[in-house]
Amino acid sequence: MNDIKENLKAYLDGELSAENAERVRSALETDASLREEAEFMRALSASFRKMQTNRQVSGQAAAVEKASARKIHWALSPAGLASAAAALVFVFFVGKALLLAPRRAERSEIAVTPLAEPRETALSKESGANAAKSKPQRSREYLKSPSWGGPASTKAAPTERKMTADTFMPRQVVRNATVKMRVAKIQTAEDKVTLLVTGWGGYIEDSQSANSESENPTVVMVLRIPVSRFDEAISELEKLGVRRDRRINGRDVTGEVVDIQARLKNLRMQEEAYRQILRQARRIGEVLEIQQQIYAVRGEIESMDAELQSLKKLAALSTITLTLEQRPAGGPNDQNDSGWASDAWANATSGLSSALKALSTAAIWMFVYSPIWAPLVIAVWLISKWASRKTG
Amino acid sequence: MNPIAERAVKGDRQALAEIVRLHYAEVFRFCSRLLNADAAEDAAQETFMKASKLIKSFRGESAIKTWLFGIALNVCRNERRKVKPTLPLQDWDYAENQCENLIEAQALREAMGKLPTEHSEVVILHEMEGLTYDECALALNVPAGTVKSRLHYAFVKLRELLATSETIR
Repeated sequence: MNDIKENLKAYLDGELSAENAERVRSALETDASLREEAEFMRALSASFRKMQTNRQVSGQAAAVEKASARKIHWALSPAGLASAAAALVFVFFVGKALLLAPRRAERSEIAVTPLAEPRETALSKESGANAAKSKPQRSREYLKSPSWGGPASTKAAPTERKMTADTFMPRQVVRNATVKMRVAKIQTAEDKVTLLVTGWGGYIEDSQSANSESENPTVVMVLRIPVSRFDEAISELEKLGVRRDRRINGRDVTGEVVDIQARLKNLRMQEEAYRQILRQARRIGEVLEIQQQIYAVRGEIESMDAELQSLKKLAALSTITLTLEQRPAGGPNDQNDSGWASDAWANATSGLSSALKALSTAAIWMFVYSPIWAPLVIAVWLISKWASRKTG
Repeated sequence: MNPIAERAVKGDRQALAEIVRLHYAEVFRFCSRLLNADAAEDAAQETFMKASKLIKSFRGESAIKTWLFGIALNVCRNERRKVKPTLPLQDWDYAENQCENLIEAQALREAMGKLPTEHSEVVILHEMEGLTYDECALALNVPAGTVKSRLHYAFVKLRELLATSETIR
């Protein structure tokens, strides 16, 4: 009976199969409560069908208009294009600022750091007064020196000097190179190198031979060439045979030179001031103490001067470490032997390695800067989605 | 498949607009049965906005009206979650000259409000929108047997809730 009751509504809706409908119809003829239930269901269905609303249909025109409007891809909508342009401009300027920041720090301008305040002693007070009387400009600078306080502090504080027109110095670069050459005859090549170096105004600082008795002897020569002839020297040396290896590097020591010069100037002024005080000293104790200071300062001056001269010398004369290898006798000449193939292989793989490095560098930059560009891209996408929803 | 629907599936915007013209009123009234009248317009607009995005996925397995009612049902369900639930058929009543032998309207609304949502939805789809059991099944995405049992239990429950003679005029 339960299945009859469960099928009653479906029977009234005409949704039953013929067989089940017949069963329900037969049950209705004999079951009064079933008929009552059916009657209620009919009344309820009629009630639902009769229900109406006074509310007028609204919004149809707008819906039709939206449906017929041509859909523009979010990226091409005005909001999307404007957002993309703003994001590109922002990324461009941020990237430019970040890339240029390190280069600005490398420029020649060196800031001045203020010198430390002097530690006052009886001597410093007196010399300060005397220095102020005799040579105001120099003594004021001298009094500022931290080394005025005693032997432990005779080492001048690191100073930096602002580059002005008066203190302009040409760039001092120490240039070094390592060149390996394969030559036909080592002795011939060695002689030629000696002639070339002399012609360039340089000299051979060191020369060492190895495997002299073997079929492929080698010579390592350290050449000191004037820096102005450096490029020419490299070019000429590579004509001696087949180049196996070459490395060139340069170190800018301009800052160091300027720094040492500034310190030397300070120390010299300090020494002069001590000498002035010495002339006025009356007591033996004071004389001895001042002399000690003078000796200490003089020692620093000598040391720094030596360092400066060494740097200048290095910058004036470049260093080329030249290795000459003689190819085995009777072997194929350098133009046809496997050496050129291995060189070509080395150059090609080196080129490929450089290209891969460049790509990897770009990928790393993209990844590292992703916190900057990724949110912008996401923001542009979200704004465009929102804009497209608004416009439908 | 309906020729207009076929053209709309292929991307014809005018065909889509025609579908909106033909079915907007039905969808609007359907939404107004599930929600209050104020929310019905927004729900109807959103239904057709979703339909325009989903039209390419329409396979013609049901009538376009049934498909639209399925979308409208989901929109109304989402809307009910956001706003305070109201009685179904809140703005619905009988015409003044058609009250005889009918269940009292307020009692019917209250009884419908006490039904579980899945039962009241199937009642509205079948009894008020005139969808067949199969069409209701497609709109609700349930088997036809489920529609049948839900309708049966909805009517049984409504009878219990309306079990006073005063509700019948």
